[in-house]
Amino acid sequence: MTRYGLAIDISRCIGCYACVIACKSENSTRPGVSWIRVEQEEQGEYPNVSRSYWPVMCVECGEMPCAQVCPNGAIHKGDGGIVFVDHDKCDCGTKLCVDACPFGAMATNEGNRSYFADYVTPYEKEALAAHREGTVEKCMLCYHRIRSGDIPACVRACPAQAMVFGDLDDRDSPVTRLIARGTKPLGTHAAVDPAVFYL
Amino acid sequence: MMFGTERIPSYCIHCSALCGVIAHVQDGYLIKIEGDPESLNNAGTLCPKALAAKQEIYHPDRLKYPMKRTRPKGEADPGWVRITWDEALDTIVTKMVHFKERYGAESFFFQKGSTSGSSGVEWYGFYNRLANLYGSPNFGGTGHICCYSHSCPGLPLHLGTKGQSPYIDYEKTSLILLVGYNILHTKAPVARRILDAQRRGAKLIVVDPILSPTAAKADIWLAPRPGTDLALFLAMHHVIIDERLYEADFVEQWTNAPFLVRDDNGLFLRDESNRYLVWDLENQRVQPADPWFPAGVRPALSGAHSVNGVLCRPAWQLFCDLVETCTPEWAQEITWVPADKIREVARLFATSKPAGNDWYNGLHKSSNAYYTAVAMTLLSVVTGNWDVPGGLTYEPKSRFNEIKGTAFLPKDWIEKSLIAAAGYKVRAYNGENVGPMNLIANAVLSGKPYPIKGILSLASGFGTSNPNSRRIMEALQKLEFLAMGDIWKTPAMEMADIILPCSTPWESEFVNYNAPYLMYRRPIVEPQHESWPDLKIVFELARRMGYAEQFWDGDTKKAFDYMLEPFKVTLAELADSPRGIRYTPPEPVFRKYAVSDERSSKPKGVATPTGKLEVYSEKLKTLDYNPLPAWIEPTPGPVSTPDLVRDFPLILASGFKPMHWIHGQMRAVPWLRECEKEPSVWINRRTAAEMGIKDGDQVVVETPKPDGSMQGRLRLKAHPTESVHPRVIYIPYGWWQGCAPLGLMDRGNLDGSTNVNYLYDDSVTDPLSGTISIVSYPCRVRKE
Repeated sequence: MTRYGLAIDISRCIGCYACVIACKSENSTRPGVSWIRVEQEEQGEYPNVSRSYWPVMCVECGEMPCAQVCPNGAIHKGDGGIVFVDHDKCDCGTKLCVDACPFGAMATNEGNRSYFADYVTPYEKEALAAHREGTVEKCMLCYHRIRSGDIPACVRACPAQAMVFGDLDDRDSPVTRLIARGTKPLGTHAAVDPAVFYL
Repeated sequence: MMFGTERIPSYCIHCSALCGVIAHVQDGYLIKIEGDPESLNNAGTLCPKALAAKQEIYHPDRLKYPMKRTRPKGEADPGWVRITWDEALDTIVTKMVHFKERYGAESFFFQKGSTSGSSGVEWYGFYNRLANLYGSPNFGGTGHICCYSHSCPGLPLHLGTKGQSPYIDYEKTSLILLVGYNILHTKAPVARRILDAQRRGAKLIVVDPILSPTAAKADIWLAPRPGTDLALFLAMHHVIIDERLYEADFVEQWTNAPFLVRDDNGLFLRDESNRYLVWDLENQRVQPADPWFPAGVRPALSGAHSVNGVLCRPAWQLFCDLVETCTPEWAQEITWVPADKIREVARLFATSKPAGNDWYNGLHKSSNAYYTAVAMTLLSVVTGNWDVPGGLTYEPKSRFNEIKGTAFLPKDWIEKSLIAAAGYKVRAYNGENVGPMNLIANAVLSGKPYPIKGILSLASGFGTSNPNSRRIMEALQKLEFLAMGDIWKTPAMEMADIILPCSTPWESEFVNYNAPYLMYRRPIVEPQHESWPDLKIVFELARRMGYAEQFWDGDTKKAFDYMLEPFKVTLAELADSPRGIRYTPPEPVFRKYAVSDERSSKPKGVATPTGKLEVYSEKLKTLDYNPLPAWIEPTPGPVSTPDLVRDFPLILASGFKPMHWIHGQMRAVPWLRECEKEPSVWINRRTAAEMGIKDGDQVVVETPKPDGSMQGRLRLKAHPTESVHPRVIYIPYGWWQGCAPLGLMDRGNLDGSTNVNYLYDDSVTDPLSGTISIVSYPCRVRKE
């Protein structure tokens, strides 16, 4: 079996948003929707203060609290352990899944908006059309790229090379070996069998 | 969707880092940009600015066609009317000819912004050539608010590196000391190298009053009171000398430390052949050094020696005398950095071999900026870390043919420059034809030393990037003629007579080396609307001015061929290979000072006045400056201007910028703007609590003029944080532009704006570098 996952080295993340913009560029998400965000955490008192940055996205978890609350059964686990939303079924209007996700990783397309109303290129128009109004979206680890042998856009772009992508079921993959050295919990929500780990 | 997509290898020129990219283009439309995995520079990674290229190129609010004003300056509506490029360029040329005939070439100022933005890092050499052919000694830059001591021109008097930007050899270093330099964000491809160095055990020490993103990654963060880094470095020298941690052999051989300085006039003692002299401890007599002293001579580094009745001391003794009283405890009082922390860092820096220190913009904002940079780089020199593997090093000049055309300038140009007229003697000595915008404003408003009548400005947001924005606008209003080219409509354009729409870097062409490829960078997409690349504007102006012959018959392709000559490659050959042609540069040479000169068989030394690295600058002495980097309080500031501090008790520091912005640019790009919608003022959490200020509260920040009257007032959201000292606030710079797609409107640069430069007076400068002193500016904050 294959389970795709990420190891994100917090000691390397510099909070530059390259992952956020790479995701925007790759997936053409609508205004206000981002499948990855960067959270900052400041600790201590000046001058003994530290700041760390945490890229947060869907952790493709095994528990899937989102799927558990979906009234339409629109959320399912697919190839490589990636959690997919079936947009044909996603029309409940309650967005229970958005609240159920402990990582705030699900976003709803509110309104049929694009960034530049009159100036989208034909290709941007086409890309935006894939994002349907009212449905819930999330990161799928750039499944379309993985399928063609590439790595997720955020991982590629990261100037700090803080993210490592790979198969968690492959004991010899770099990502598995990194995770084996120990991970940090993201907030208090570690017990969901995640595929995204923080080092 | 990706079938039929063309993948164009190119590189980004939003900043000088030049990251390799692959542009995915379909039917002439840019689909997306990715990092080029083959690029040795960025290895497939890419920063937000380049990743957002699509939204920059196709942004609806770009300038689209040339325009002229039809209503007088000062009226609310300039009455912009669309004109042709012919009319715009002919108008500019007519004015240029007129001003030169009537008032002299010096009356026309060629302003450029930072080398970042609309690919200025590449075309500015040609722009400089245009200014030089015209004969104006006033060619604008940003050194006075950016990088004076780093590369503009650097520290030629001390290190001999004119215009050569030093950098740390991160691959081999054991310790990295960064000062006022948010390099993890501002030079994205360097980020992973620094993090890799840390991973293999190198220490990262960051000096910054604010916990910048780079400081947040440091093993040790030193947060001096803004503007007092000089005291910190002097105390580090104190520790290094006191504990004999310096490299005595290096100091003796490669610096002018042993040269005898006369007590009576502070100049070097010379013999009848005008050779420098050292005191030979072996034979207890003077020995000539030209600048190398004979083998067998053991030069004194300390003491006082009488030579023919003249009392002299080795320069090193004077340097030691200078730092003797600069104890860590002394520095703690001034800098707020604990003395034991200063000792720890001094010892670490001197004993971790090799160590590298680098600095940038943060050092160029105070009235003691020049000496701060000197003291900092001398740390590298006295510990023997200068130009060694793993230390602070530099590369010789560009391998491309030079195109600036400085030789076209009239011989006496430097005397005619505003730099020389304003008394910046080091700058004049270094032969810099850069006219800082504050000097231009002085000349426009006062008519002295001569009037400035016209300005052509390309890629420069001088209405927001220069301190004292109101005075800049007053000067522009008085100015007879202003033509401005840019991608966006900037606040200064309110005073322009002609506006030119410039292309983004992605729509322009150039040749460059982007390891491992020598590349012809063709436009990724055609220029949008009626925009022109800046390079085309420069060439077309040159042709109309009658300089076609000196501008390769107005043909950029021929100019590129000329640039490429040293590589023995033609543009046609390069263009045939879209991937570029592989080129392996020679291995970097370290210890360049020790390389033998072919003719004399002596070491080449460095390009300083003495030929050696200079711990004591006689040239500064002859220019009436202190030859040594003695402590100076920054002005204004809590110590130097106590009257201001009574009413304005906090210190305003406008420090680092994040990776997603470059100076005042890019705010209109919605993807980027979603990351940071508005600027906020960072204020210490405890200070904020005392004032009842909570996160997100609207606050008013006010600053004084030197006489205590009000300079400026900004309304900003508060961000209480422990990342600043309780007496320091931080406001990011470069904020003025709106982002209409997100419903955010332009804020202008004066009343009601978010432009931090509105808060500064610009009358106090560093007398050596001309740097405008703003880093420790008094201010006060209150809840709205």
